[in-house]
Amino acid sequence: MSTAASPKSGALAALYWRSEILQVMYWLRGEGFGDVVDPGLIERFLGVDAAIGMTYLDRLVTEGYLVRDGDWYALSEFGLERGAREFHEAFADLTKPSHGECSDDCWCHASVDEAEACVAHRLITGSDHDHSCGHDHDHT
Amino acid sequence: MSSVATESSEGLPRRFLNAFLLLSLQREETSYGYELCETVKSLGLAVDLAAVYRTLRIMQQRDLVTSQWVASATGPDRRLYSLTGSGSIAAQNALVELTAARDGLIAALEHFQAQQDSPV
Repeated sequence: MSTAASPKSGALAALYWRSEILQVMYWLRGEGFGDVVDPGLIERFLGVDAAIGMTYLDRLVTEGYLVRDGDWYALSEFGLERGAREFHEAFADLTKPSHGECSDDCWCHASVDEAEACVAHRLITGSDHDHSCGHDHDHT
Repeated sequence: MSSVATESSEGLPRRFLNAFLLLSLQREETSYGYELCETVKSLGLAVDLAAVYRTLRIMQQRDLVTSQWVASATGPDRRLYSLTGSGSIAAQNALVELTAARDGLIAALEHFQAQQDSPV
């Protein structure tokens, strides 16, 4: 697997993963599994490597959406309020793309840079995750 | 969160998950994620909640499934899933595929059983 090439957009990636993580946490909460996740669970539900997922979980802690207790992350009051509002309204389009269909060894899970390049491509082009797309990646 | 069980290694292959979810939604008309997971597991499929969540997200991207957040008076909002028009067609195709898989397995089993039963 090669290293990532541009485009890279930390802002777009953060927006995308904020929505994905909050959405799965909100979904689990609705299904009766509480408000708490760990990076391993994020990996299983979103298909993103746990180490990469943890960087986004920590970012959500910094932004006030989550609170961290050791290895566990929980929705804050702010995160709960924003989740309820966002998933009914503004995030409907942004939450359409998903890493869920990627296999565990997909190139876009290899690093934060890879994930950001992938997310930026999809948000800019509006296209689905394409393993044979025009990225300057080695998809093998 | 430890109650979100991991996938079992026993049961029907996970590749039938799409078909089972489509047909379950066709039968129930609307369903929640956990209910769908329990349904397909009760039918013998070796999957966990994460696999169901990921598959439903993909189906939604492909316009096979739609969902809405449903408010509850007693608990948090839940996501309610239903088939789209394309999803209904896909469910019919899934039934054809499952029938073909069943017929193929029966034919293979009969072939091997006939081999075992035949005198050497």
